[in-house]
Amino acid sequence: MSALNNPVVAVIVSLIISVGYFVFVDHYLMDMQGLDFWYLFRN
Amino acid sequence: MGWMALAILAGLLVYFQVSISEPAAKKRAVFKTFIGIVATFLLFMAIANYKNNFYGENRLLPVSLVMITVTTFVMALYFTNLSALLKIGGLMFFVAAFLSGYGNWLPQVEGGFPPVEEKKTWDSMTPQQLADEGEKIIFGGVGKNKEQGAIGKGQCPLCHAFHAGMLGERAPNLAGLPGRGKERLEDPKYSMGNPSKREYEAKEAFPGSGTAESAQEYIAESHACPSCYVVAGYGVKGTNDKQSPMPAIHKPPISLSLPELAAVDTWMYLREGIDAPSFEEIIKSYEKFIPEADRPKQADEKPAGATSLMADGSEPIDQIFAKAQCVSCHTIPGIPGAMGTIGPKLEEGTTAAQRIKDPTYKGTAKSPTEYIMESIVDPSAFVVKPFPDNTMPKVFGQKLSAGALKKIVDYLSQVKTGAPPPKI
Amino acid sequence: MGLLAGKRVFSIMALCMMVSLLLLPIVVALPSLAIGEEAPAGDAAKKDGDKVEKGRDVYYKTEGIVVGAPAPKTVDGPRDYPRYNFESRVLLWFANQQHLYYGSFVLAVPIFCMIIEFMGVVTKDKALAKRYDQLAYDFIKISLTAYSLTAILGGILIFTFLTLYPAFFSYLSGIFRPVMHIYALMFVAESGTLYIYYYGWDKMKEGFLKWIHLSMSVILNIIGTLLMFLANSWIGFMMSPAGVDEQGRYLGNIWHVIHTALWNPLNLHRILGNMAFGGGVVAAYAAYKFLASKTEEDRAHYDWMGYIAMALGVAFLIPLPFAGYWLMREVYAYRQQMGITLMGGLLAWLFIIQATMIGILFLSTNYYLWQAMGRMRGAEKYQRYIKYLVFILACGYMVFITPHTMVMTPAELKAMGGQQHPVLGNYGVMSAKNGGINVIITTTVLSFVWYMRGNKVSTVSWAKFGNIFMGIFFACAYFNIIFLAVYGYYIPANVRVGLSVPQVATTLSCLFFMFALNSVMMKGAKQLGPIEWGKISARSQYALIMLATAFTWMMGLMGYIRSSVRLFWHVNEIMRDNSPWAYTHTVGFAANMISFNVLFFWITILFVFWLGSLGAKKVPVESKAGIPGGVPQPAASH
Repeated sequence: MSALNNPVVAVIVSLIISVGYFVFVDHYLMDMQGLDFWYLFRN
Repeated sequence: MGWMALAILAGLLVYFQVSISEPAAKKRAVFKTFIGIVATFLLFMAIANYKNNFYGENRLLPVSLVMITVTTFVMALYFTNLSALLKIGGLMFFVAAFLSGYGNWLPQVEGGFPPVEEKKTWDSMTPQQLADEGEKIIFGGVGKNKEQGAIGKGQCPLCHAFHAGMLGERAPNLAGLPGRGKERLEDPKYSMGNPSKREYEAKEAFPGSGTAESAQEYIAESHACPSCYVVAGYGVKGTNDKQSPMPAIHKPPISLSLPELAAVDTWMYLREGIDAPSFEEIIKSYEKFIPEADRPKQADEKPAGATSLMADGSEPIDQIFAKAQCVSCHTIPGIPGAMGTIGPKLEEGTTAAQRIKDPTYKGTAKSPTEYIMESIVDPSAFVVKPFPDNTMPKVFGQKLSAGALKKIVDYLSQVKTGAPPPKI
Repeated sequence: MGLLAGKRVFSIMALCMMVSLLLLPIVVALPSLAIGEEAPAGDAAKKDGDKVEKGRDVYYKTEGIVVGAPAPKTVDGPRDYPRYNFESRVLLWFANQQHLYYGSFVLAVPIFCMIIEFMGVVTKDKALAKRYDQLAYDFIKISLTAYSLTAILGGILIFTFLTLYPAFFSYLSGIFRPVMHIYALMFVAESGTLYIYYYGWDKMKEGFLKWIHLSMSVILNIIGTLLMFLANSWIGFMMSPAGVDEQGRYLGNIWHVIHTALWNPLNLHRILGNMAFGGGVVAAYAAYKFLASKTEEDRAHYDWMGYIAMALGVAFLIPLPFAGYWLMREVYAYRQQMGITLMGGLLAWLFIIQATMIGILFLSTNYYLWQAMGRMRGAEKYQRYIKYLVFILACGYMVFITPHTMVMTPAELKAMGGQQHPVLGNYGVMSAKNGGINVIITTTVLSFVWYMRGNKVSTVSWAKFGNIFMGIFFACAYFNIIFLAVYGYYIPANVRVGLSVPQVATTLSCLFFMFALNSVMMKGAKQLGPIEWGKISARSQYALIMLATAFTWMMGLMGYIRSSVRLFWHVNEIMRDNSPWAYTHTVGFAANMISFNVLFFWITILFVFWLGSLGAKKVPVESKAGIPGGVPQPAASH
């Protein structure tokens, strides 16, 4: 717990969680509709 | 009314002067009444201003709004026991009036009256009434036949010209048609009475219908079976005049009913000063070439006549292409029946960008979608070689709704050379 | 003891009576429902006997025997459209709108009552429990006067229908005959329950009796909601008829007539809308009392009341757009033409106004929350960041209200050089707008989070990490929303719509996760200072009034849109409107009319409030007993 309160560690951990979460949400929900991040480049 | 309110207030003023003996209280009461009178004045001025300027496009309406709001706040300042109520009322009035003003500031569109629900009694019309109906079907209104770009439900002027010397490269000029019918019948290529000898794509309108034997029947046959006889030079390119680009008029997308066709024909006769055959005769001529099952019913006509638009944008894309008649001149991948060769094949997803880069391009479009829009609304901005200029009508900007245009642009921008067509 | 037992028996009896009142209409309805369902079977038996005419349901496509008369073909004249020297439609519009305003108010307030009373029952803090209870009582008191006004207005509405649109109304009542009777009976049940609920408040305030009382409020709300569902079935039928054949002849199945294509989406949308509206009205009431009150104590109470009402209203406002989305989707599924008339055709400008209103609602909510931070000590640390929130909100709002495709004349088209403005047009597309509104909602969530932690410092061991995490989560959420909005420009329109789902998911993630995380972090937090109820600026109260007025206006607007989308039909595609008023008014006229309705409603409701205050003056001691002015609130109170 104390390690988490180190600002640098906290920022890194939160970034990983947040970015991971949103990438996951975006990917999953876009996938449901036949979309993805690379749609633009494939077509 | 206003004077009454003022009179009451003035009366109060006098009453306070007389009745209240304590000077301080008197002063207060008098002052308040005075404020009340001022506020009433403002209020009635505001109302009068509003009333006088209600009709027409007047920019003075907000003055009323400001006056009323000011009034309430002035009152709130001096009538402390009602202060909260007045301030709240003032704010509410301001918000409501602001939104009202906003609504009035936006462009005003009034939904027109619904199309009149009327059953046309075709068979009892005089020839002139019938001809008027016909003109409406062709040009969209009585007396519009000389207007460039006027077009009605029948959509004839998209391809045909109706007056000598008027533009119409894609189809024969129809001036003098009733007299010319006879000449056509004598044309050996028409092969009157012997349809099997015809060289055209269609031999007969339907098996056993035979060929026309009078001028009226010729007109009827041309409507029902355009490819039964093609005037030299007006066939689909590359078919050696074997096939006509004209759609069968009784079939979708135009689907004129027999009485409507009769009205159209009657106009064609009457405008040349020729007595038209009777309504029954014309109907009969069509019955010869259109089998019972193919005759469109006029009863369940949708009440869409209020608009002169070809397509309002609510239709699926393939229907928009069909209704606007794009399909008769253009080949559009993915659209059934769009095999026209009068104009270029529409693969704008690939070609639009190339056209903009073309050194001879003088239009204003910066992006493919803009280019497509420009080509529809202003076809002469850039003419694809080797197609001639002035072939495509310039009326689509007026005849298609914004929604329909957008759908067309959206679709065409997705059609790419060599790729499967987009889903409809 | 005996007295208490007697009370108990009495209250259980009252509850049973209410349940039976609730069930009565259904029992009465059963035979008619049964007739509806057996009809086809009965038909089969006598098929070879006399000739029975069959019809095909316009929506369900089932066959049924024709029971009713066809929809009358009206002609303009004194028989079908009797009139005064005035536009009948406007009179009807007015009567309808006023009835609806009052109706939604009296339906929404008991739901608030139920929630607040329940909060009072489960709260462990005695003083707070008492305050909640008193608040719920205040609410129901307001709604009682409004209730009788609703009934009066309903009567006026029916008479307006009968006198000005007799042909249409007789057709509608011919089809809905059993439903209308059930409706009337339900109304009786609603009144009975309401009065018992209100007058039994003091008698049933302890222990077990309180629970009975609470269940009464549940029953009251069930009845109220069912009432609204029935009324919705009429407008649902007018918009998307079912259960009749093409000529409008009733086919014997009442369920088909009620359960039309748009019934359920309308039900949901209306419940949520009523709640948001009710919250707005109560908040405005509290704001009025706050501004008018002379003592600190009163101010504290009404500040608190306004806050609760606002919070409840906004809680229902947030899901409202999604319910609206569902309704719109069903409209498109029912008739694409209707959807296009709404969104891209004749009525599209009204939706531009609606977008403006939504923006105003969220802006006022945010403004209120920022002002509300003023009553907490310790919230100053957030004040200086508010300007950035304003900036973000303004940007989102600007993008959100930029229109896209509008009906334009060719000259306008030419002047603009195409369908869209060369620069601004880019913001008008759905992709950008979705981004805009999601940014606005996310910012509102952020304001709420700041408000909730305003006077507290988290004491959990991972507080630092929690704060950093929340900051980064919000930042990522903004980034994600904007990224998706930009990405939308590069992919074709038909696939682009799919991007709105992850955008909405992002916003909702912020809402749920951040609220949850915040309340975990704030559990047992150190308070920098109490919330000083009543110490809020007067401006904040005007924000509440703004909120309420905007709610009212928007409700009038959306009701108008929903109703006018039928264009020249009384019953869509079944019964034509042949009156001289079958055309659709201009946006400006509609806006004026809505403003008039809104102002009229507020003038009358202020009168209702004033009546309520007359009653309160008689028992000043009692009504103030439960208001312990500046008692600090524990964390759970907001």
